Amino acid sequence: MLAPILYDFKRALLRPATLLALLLFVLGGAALSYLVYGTFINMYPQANLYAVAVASGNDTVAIHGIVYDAYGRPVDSATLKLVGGGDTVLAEIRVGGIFHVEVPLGKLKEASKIVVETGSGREEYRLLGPVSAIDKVGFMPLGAAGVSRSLAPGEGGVPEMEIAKLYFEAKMILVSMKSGESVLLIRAVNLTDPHSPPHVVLEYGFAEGGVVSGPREGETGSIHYRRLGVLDDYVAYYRIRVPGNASVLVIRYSGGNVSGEVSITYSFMIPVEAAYAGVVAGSTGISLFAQFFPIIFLYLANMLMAKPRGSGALEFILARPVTRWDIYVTRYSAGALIAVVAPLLFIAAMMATNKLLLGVTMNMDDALVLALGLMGAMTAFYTLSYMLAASIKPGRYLTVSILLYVVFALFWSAIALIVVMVLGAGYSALHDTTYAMAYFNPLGASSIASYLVQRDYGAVAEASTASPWLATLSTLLWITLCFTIGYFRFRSQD
Amino acid sequence: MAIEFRDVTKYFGKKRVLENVSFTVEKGEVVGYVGLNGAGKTTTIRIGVGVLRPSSGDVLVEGYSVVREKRRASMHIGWVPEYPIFEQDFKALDYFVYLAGYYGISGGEARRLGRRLLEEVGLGDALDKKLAEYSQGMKKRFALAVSMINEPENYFFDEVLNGLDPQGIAFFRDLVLRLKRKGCAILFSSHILSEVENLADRVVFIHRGRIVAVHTMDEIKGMAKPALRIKVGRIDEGLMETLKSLGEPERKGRIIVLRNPSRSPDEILRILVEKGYPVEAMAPVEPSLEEVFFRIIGERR
Ligand SMILES: Nc1ncnc2c1ncn2[C@@H]1O[C@H](COP(=O)(O)OP(=O)(O)O)[C@@H](O)[C@H]1O
Ligand SMILES: [Mg+2]
Repeated sequence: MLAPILYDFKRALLRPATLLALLLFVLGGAALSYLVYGTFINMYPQANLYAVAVASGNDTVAIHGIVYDAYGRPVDSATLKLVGGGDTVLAEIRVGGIFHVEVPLGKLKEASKIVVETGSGREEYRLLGPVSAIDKVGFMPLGAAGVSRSLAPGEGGVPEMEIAKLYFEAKMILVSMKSGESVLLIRAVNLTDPHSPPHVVLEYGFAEGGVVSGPREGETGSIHYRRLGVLDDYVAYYRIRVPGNASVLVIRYSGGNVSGEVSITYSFMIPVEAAYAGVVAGSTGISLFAQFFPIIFLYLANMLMAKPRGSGALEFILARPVTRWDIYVTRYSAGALIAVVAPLLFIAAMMATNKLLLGVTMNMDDALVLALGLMGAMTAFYTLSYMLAASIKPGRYLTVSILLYVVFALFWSAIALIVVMVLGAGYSALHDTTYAMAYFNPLGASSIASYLVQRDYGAVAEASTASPWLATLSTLLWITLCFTIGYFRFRSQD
Repeated sequence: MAIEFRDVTKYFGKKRVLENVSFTVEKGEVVGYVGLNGAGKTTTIRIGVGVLRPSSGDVLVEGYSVVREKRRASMHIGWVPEYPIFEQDFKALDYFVYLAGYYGISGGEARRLGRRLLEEVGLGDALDKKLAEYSQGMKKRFALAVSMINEPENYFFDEVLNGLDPQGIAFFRDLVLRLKRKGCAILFSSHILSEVENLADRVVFIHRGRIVAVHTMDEIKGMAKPALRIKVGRIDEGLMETLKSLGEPERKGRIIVLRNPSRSPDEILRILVEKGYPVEAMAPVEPSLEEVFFRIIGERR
């Protein structure tokens, strides 16, 4: 036999409205994911081309390249389209990983853009300048630009005396500043003989900040170089880790009678991961949803407590073998369980959908912080609503709870602004004040969690008032106080 | 003792609605709980079934305190509220099954029980109707079915005949007698004494929150005074004086009700005729319980 108290809990939980609430969270997670995806791929496209075209005689051109995604990972299966005027597709080439294909020179000359398509993205590259350059120089880079060296004699930084023998270009994609995870793409052409691939040894090292144009030759003594590998193809792909205490990556190549280096200042880059987390945790991401989810809990407290109490139906149930405490607790727990589970579902749905869309998702630590913040916020707001539902005049419940919702979820930042103005603290104090005031808002845990995640990536300014411990404490206080006050008022009701 | 009210006092705010209410209902006994509207019957019953807390005092059902051992006590209680209220968007049978779950009866067993009991109370063709569409009488019947879910030994019926049609009233009487034979304790309230007349073994009278009397039905019937309805062509002071010496006359238009007559109807007729009053009609009146009721609670009608 199921104990009545468990039974009551089960019944409170398995209502269409509660199940619908869970579904809304899952849908919200998927929706957030699309939102994030849309914003994110504007910054970091999903389909990128890094290639070089080399005239290979007999009116054909060899294209050596790689198609990679937002995180710098090679895409196994992509399509390149040479598109001419009037959007006519001149050639369509299937490529994957690091690829080498031949196309008729005429087609490339006719083309005005290259379209790269992958399963999850599409990007266009205009072909700038006369393609006939390829006739003169023997090659031309295609797709995303990088940091190049030695394209032509006399280029800045290249001693006049040196006749360029190698075209060398590098591109770095900083995935994570935390772990230093990065992708390095190289393209190079042996200028003395474009038909054969270059053959050089690659090394890399790091320099402190402040070096803008890269250390000059002869000044590299302080840099400790590590071997990256032997470059014997037109295009190469490496995974490296960059340290947080340096800011410039220097790549050195040497072999035969060529040598040189390029440097990339990475400390100013926005890591892919940070861009992503910034969007997820930012004001158009989680916060947007955190603003509207409380309505669900306001409604749940109404359905579970205010409505049956107001109508008198609760009294008939109270005549069953249950106590007021049982009813108060079981109905509360049903809603609270939703408040705990729903954010998990929300984050999980968001992550799963993002995994599908982007192939990556946020790391578990961030996900946990955001989920905990949402859980705390939703539980605290639900407890506040439940307290009202169980204690104030039932006819007033909706008015009062909606008012509180508007204040806490919608107007809180405006109120923070007013507080700052009243205190005369000046606009600079707004940031700190906003987080200080979060503790006086049952939804505060969510904004502190968003802050913590964004701060980890440097996506938000430091606020001395934002503390995870205070947020936890205030949330627990909101929950226990509302729960207790609600119960004592519920218990002594007639 | 199956049901025992012990010194129950209840305040609503500052207003005292019940004052030291104490009485018992024995096993196999049907007790009527009678008082005017607003006397405190519903409040007493809500406290008895444990949905309202007494300000002081306690109620024991099968020896379990409804205050401190609510869960156990409730297992032995059936209740039909004066105005039953359910969650509106449920269908009757579904809600029955929902409520049965609290007693550990679930699934097919609860549905079977629900069908049987709802059919028994005459709701057989309204099983799938939404409770929102139920009339007051149907709600009473539904609550009646629910009160029998776990075959409790103690019943609290609050103005249960109110809102029931004659069929329902007959059903309820049969039910009460059946429960009584099974040894159940039944407390049922009414603001009309004659409503409990045929069923109650004893009547507890409540007035303004206080128990003013407890009588067996036989005692009450004994208290009901006989009366004569007399229609006289001419009514004057002299006639009233004469009648006062023969009982308690009360003039009601052209009719006089003579309560508690001290002589037989024949003798009274003779005396009036001898005094020259034209008696047009004279008939005995059934003894009035309401009279007794008002006398007991000390109120004039
Ligand atoms: N919830 C309540 N709050 C305040 N007063 C109440 C409440 N319920 C009943 N009363 C008052 O208590 C008194 C007794 O009511 P009640 O028990 O319903 O009487 P009865 O059932 O005998 O008609 C009445 O004066 C009524 O107005
Ligand atoms: Mg009443």
